[in-house]
Amino acid sequence: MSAEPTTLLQGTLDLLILKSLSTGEMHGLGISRRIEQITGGTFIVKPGSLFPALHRMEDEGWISSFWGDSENNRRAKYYRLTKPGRRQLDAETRRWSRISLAIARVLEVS
Amino acid sequence: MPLFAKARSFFRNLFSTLHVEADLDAEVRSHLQLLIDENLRAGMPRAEAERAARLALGGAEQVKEQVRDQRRGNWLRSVLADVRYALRQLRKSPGFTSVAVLTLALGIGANTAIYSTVDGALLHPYPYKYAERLATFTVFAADQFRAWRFPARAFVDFEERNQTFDDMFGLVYREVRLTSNNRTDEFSGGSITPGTFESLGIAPLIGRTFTVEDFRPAAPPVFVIGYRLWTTLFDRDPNVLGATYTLNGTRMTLVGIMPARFQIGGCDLWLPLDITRDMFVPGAGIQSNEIWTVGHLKAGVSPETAAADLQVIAAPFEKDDPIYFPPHFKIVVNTFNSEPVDHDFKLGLLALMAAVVMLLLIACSNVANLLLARATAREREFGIRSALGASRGRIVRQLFVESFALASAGCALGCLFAFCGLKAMIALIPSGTIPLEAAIRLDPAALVFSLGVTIFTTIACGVAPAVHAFFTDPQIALSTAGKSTSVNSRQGKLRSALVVAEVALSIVLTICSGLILRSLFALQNVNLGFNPSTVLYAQISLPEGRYDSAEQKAILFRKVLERLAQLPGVIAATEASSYPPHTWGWTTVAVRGQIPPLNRNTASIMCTEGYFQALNRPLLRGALFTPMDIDSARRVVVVNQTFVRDHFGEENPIGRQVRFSDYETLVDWPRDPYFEIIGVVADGHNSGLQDSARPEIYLPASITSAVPGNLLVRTNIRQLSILQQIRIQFAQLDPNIAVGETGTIATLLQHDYFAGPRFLLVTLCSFAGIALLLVAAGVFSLISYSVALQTHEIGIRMALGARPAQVLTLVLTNGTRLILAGIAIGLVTSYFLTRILAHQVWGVSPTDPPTFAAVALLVLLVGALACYVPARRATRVDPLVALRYE
Repeated sequence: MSAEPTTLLQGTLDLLILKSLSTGEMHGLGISRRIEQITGGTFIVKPGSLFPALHRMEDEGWISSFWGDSENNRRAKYYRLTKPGRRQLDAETRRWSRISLAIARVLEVS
Repeated sequence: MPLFAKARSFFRNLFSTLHVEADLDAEVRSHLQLLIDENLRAGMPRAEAERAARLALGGAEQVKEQVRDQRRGNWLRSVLADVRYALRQLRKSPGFTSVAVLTLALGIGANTAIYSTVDGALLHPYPYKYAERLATFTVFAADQFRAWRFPARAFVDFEERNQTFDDMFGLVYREVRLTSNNRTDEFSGGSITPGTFESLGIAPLIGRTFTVEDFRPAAPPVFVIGYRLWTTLFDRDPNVLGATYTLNGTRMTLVGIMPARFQIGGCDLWLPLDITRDMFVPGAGIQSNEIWTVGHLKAGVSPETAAADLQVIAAPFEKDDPIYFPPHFKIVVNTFNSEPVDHDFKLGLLALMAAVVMLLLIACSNVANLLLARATAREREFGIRSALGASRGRIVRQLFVESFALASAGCALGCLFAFCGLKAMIALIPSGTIPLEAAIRLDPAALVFSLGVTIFTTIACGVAPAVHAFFTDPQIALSTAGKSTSVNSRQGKLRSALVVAEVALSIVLTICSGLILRSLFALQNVNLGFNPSTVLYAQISLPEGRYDSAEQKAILFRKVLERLAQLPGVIAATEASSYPPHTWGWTTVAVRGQIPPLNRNTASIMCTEGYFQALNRPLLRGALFTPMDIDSARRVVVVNQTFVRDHFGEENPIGRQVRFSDYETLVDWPRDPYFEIIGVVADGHNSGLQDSARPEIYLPASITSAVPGNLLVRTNIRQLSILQQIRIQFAQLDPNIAVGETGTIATLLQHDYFAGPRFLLVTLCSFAGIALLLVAAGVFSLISYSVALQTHEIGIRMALGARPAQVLTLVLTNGTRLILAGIAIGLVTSYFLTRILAHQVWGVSPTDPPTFAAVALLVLLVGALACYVPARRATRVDPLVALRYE
């Protein structure tokens, strides 16, 4: 994961990847571009972080992969969410909302 | 389901490596391609697009390695790969591997052997049930040992009224003359109370132990023998079971044979004994009727609590039995495991443990040194590996796997060494220093221990090369490896430090062996006043009934002594109750007209008139015994110088009256207990070789029959045939008399005083020898290696006109500087550490300067020799060749 411009909390990369895949299947580059796009360039995910995360999540059974053709006819490995992956995304989302709400409150108070 | 998926991915990652790898490779490639496409679409020229894409990817191999690193089961796969790789590396350099494995095997083997000895002798010597709770007790009076066996009524009260023991049983020692095949031999027997075998939880090897019936007064007499007696007397014949033998004149049936490790009381055979409170128990020793009491402490009860419990029970005995329970007596409970071995032997073992730890450290630093040298030679390899995506952690792990492989091989070989070494060591352990029950062997616990040592070794050896690899910059490694012109300074310092440490440790070890050697010499040179190899001793055991009165016994010995005096070669023969340099009977002495002292510190010997001549004890004042004094059992006493000094100072002791309260309980002791001092002889050793003489008195042996008489005979030359003559003379007089242990005083000294230090000497010297060998190897490899690295420099020097002698001096100076530093540190360390040996060292100071100097010189010589060989090689460097190959 990129150290700049923002250091991500452990596990946040998983959430970002799961969220990107929730709209449909995507290959590695697609996922990292999607994250860049959504976050407006705040998070840049390098291959050295992306691929280990993808393989780990596949080992966990949250995502599955298959080979397909890209938009300009290149062979690429695609990933999509599985049922456990969806459940994981829900759980992670709830957890994240709770944390961000809590932090927002702290910031408002002080 | 997720569990199943996890397991599936684990196995897929582990076994379908080829497929998984191909897939990963394709994925990374396609990612790169997509990046290039993206850049091309953005309008970059092709070359620029590819370069930017590669930069963005950040190295295909590194990305792949990062993916592999987090795969499930990856650690196992990569560790296996590391092991395979390590084995291949080690196979490629058999010289290095065999030296390293052998070095570690010596270190691990020595540790395993000593651990086995400590475990077998010190930690778990007893095979009995709940051995850790087995305890016995002794009585002390004013901090002085008083008694460890008690009268019947005390035993019965202790057994019935204690609150702190699960069970309690007693053993009465008795000499047993066993007649079989018309031959009488004396053995040490133990009469035991009901429940002893059950309490100890050891089943007989064959036959049975005692039943309740056997303890009934009218029951047919039976006995049980130990494995040792079964072997020596019956040649392990199982048919002896059920046979009857004559024991002390009574026919008894042999009903059981106990296994080898059952040795309670150190006896050869056991008889049933049922104790009642007021019975008199026949037994051995000056005081019969003494019962050694043993029991299992209740779980969780401390010896101190038990002692307090027994103290309360024993309080009334102070009035009835002041001999055993003197005023202000104190009972001390000791568990069997608290002091299983001879104190000196225990300290010796601890010293040996320290020695083997040092040996292991030397072995480790030697191997660490070899590994460091290899690590330098392999800098290029590590450079390439990290360029290919290996993290520093991986390389460090690789190094640890390699040292673990070495240590494991060393462990296997070391256990073999330990197995062989243990056999030799057990043969050297003097008998009597460890419990008879102890079994020293290479058991699973020892193997587990050696595995622990192996892991320690792995870490100890692997740390230095790992630190080195961790701080090596791969870039520099790649560009300079194999071409370095001088030793990398940090690494060179580390290696030098290791050699200095090795030398220092070997100095400590060698000094310890040197001190033990010196003290063994000192012990062997103690002047006893006579030549111990010409003084023979024979233990005599008289049958019951015929020699019960003092007079009968005196007549028998008079006859034997007269006959022995006739034999050619015999200078003097005497009856004596104990042999030098140790006296067994101790008594308190009261001088008429003086306040009696409380301490039992006077050695007492019952002897005949030949004693002083037999042991060459010169008369200083007054007169010695005459044959008439002995035959008429006159109440006279000869004393030694120390006795006179203690009781009379400068006064004349001749004619003074003394009494010996410890003997006054004997039935045949004179009614008038005062003895007249008739003579003073020079001091002789009576508390062992090391200690100076204590006060001693000599009484006519004819005074009492209660003290067993033995024989001492001085011959003009060493004549063992006289021992045979002693047996013949007794057999002629009475075939029922058993002549027990015989030998010369020299053999006694050998066993009692020299065997212990010799055990320590041989083991310590072997370890010190190995240490010196390892140090020589360490110095040799360090200097050889630095010469190899300096070949270029030496070539230049020689090309510029340096003579071989100068090159030799250069290399020797470098090596000697390290050795001298090691020697200095070693000497200082020894100065403080040898105090640990203070108990083992006698007759020489633990910081004996000649020993220190000799050892320093020896180590310097060994080190210089180890430097000299590579230094010679350096002088033969051909400048042309050296410079061309750079």
